[in-house]
Amino acid sequence: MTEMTQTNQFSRLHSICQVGLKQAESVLSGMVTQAITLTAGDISLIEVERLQETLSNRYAENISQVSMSFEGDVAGSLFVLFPPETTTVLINTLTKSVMRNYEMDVFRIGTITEVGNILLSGVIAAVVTATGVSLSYSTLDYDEISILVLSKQTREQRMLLGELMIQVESLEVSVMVMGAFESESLVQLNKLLAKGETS
Amino acid sequence: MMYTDVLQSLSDGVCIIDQNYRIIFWNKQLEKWSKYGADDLLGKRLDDVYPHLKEMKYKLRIDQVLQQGPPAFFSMLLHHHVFSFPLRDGSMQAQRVTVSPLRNGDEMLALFTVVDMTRSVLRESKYKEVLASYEREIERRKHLERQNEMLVRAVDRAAEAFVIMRINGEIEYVNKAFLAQTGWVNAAFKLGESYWDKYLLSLDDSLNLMVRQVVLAAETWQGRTEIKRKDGSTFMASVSIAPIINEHGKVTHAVVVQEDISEQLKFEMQYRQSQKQEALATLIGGIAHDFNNLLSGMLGHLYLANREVKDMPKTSVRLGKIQGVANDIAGIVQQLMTFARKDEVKRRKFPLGSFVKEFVRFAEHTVPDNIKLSIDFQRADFPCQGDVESLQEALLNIIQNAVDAAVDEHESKIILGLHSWDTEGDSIWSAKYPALAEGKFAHITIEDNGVGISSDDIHKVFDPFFTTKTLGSGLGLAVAIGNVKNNHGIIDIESSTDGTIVHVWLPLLDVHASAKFHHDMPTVLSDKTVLLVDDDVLVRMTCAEMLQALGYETLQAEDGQYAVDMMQEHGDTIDLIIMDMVMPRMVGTAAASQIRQVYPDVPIIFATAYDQSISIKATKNFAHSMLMSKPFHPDTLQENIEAFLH
Repeated sequence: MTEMTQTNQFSRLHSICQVGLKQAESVLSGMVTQAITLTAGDISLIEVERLQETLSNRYAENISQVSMSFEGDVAGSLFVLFPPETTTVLINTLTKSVMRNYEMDVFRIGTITEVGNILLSGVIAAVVTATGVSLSYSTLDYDEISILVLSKQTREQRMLLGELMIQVESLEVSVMVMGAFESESLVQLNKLLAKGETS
Repeated sequence: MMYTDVLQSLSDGVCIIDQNYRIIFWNKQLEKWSKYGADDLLGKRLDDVYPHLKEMKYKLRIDQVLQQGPPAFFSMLLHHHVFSFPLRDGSMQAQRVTVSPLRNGDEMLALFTVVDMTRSVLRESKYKEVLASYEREIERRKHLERQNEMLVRAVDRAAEAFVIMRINGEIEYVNKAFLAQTGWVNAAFKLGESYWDKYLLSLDDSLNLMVRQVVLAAETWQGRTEIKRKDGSTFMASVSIAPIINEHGKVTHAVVVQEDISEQLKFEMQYRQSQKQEALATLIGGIAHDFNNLLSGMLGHLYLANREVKDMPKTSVRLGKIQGVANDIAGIVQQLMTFARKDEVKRRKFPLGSFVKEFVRFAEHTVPDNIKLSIDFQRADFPCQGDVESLQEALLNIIQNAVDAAVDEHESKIILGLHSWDTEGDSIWSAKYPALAEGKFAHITIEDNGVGISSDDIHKVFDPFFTTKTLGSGLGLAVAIGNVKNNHGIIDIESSTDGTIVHVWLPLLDVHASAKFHHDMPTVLSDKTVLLVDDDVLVRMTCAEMLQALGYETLQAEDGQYAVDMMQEHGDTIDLIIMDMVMPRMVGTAAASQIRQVYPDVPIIFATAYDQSISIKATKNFAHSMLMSKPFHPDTLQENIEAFLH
């Protein structure tokens, strides 16, 4: 077994992510003084050829993304993909601002970057704790990008994709969390997860 | 050492803290922004210098970094100022702060990178302002455009004609109503021509100059003038010319609003004509009243004289002829009163056959000699019920229209027909008027060989004020249709280039029922007393003699008040009152009201020398009463008295 294709491994990763999201949920709620609920959906492994199709089924042509790269025992990048039509709504809800337009300005970019950072930090910290991997991180990045470009510039052949529901008051936003791992790292992660499962 | 130099020279702020939050590096940029020298801060706890960093939302994430966790990122909206760096204007620096883990051997440090976003925020704020002002401008222009489009559509579809012209008269815009008014609907209208020269007709030089001066002086000119059409014909219009002033206060254009008032002028003329008729009718009514009173006396005396000369046959014959002439005069007066009357249908039974024959005799006076008036009658009584005066008026109006249509024709003629209506014989009219098939009708036709009525006009001929004649009031056929309908009849018209036929159908009474109105001759009553009330001595005396000759006792009163007094004195002996309507001191109806309070059942015959329609409303509410027109015919008077006293 060299690939993460078994249901129990996905299930273990899902549980780890859920722990990380609880941590992120706590940080976010404390920060914006609003009750926030984060729920992880199923995680799947998809080929890069299907990435465009998969994302296009959920989102419009363009998306906002917050990414964080890491290296160490495993190397790769984590992305939070926000649907552009609801990004501004989410920011306004979190910051209790009045919506005047949908345009992303420096304030909103900063906010969504921080929200993405908290989500990704929660997840990655939980993975580190659960698997004991040692990682070093690069700085965060925010970008608005088309699904087509995102699919073309992704170098990895396979990636992990999971849905994340963010609920703030009556607002519910569905975002995608994507993990793109270098080939060896995916095998390594698979091993670490399998090991953790048996231990 | 080299790395420290690099960090010192960065344009971003850089700060490093150890596990205990103690500051171990504070670069020059931070010194500049914070006004704290590095020497003052090194070794101090960062959360002592900036106490709000002790809050959980900061501490939790900084601690995570110090434990080799992922970097933390503090944004401007969620964490307004990680470091409170005041600016010159008193506001705080906008900043983005990233906290990254930094390993120093075995020790984990936290590296703060502070990016000054103030300029970016200002730039974006200005950009937003500009964008917003552009958006507002675009919105304002769109609003103006919408308003403009709406105005153009409204003006284009307005009923009044609009013209916008340069001050020299050069036309720049006309709306659809203008094209319709001036006959350019189906032709290519050319902008640029002069409104002054091409459309305004009757402005003489001085007026023309005045209008132009008024407009140039930024005032509005209003008036009536003739406007030229494309084909050269003209129409009268109410015109308003107002200047359009530009933002510099200069008159650049003028807007013309013109309304075709031809129809309005026609109505005004017709109104004046009907006002004249109204005045004439009032005058005639008054004259006829006086004539009737005189005729009452004359006819009464003639009646009495005739009774006294029964043994002088030649004198009796002559008196009879004088009586005939007087009756003719009474008839003419009655016609005048019919013209002058308002509108009240006085229905009674009458033989239509005799009526139409009499009508022809009367109508002959209104038909010029060059028109041959002939009749086409079916011999029969045609018993009818209705208001003969209003029917006469209707037929007279129709005859008058026929005369106007035929008068200029060669061998012009008018044929007056009267036949019983045969439903089976003419299915067109029966189909149009189903009522014709349900009862018996007399069919009157007035046919002329005049010019006929165009198909465009024929449906309008019964409309009030519709006329094709220069001096016509347009009321003739409108009155005719009203009068025929009031008599439960039907009227219609057909026309061709060979002439016009007006059809009138009147319902006939059942033959058996109609026999009732052939009266028996009145019988003379005696021992009955009549109170005769009239302010006209001649009428009163003559009538009294007439009643006495018929065998009645009479008492006389010269006005209403006298009558009330006499009733108080002799009321029990009075069997009937003949009461004039218009008298000094107390009018007839007022006197009757007082008398009826004591004698509620005493019959009253109200007498009027005016048209009955004027008096009828006043007497309507009195039971056991009737209204008679003066002059009285002795037989009619006796007949009515008998009817009450029998």
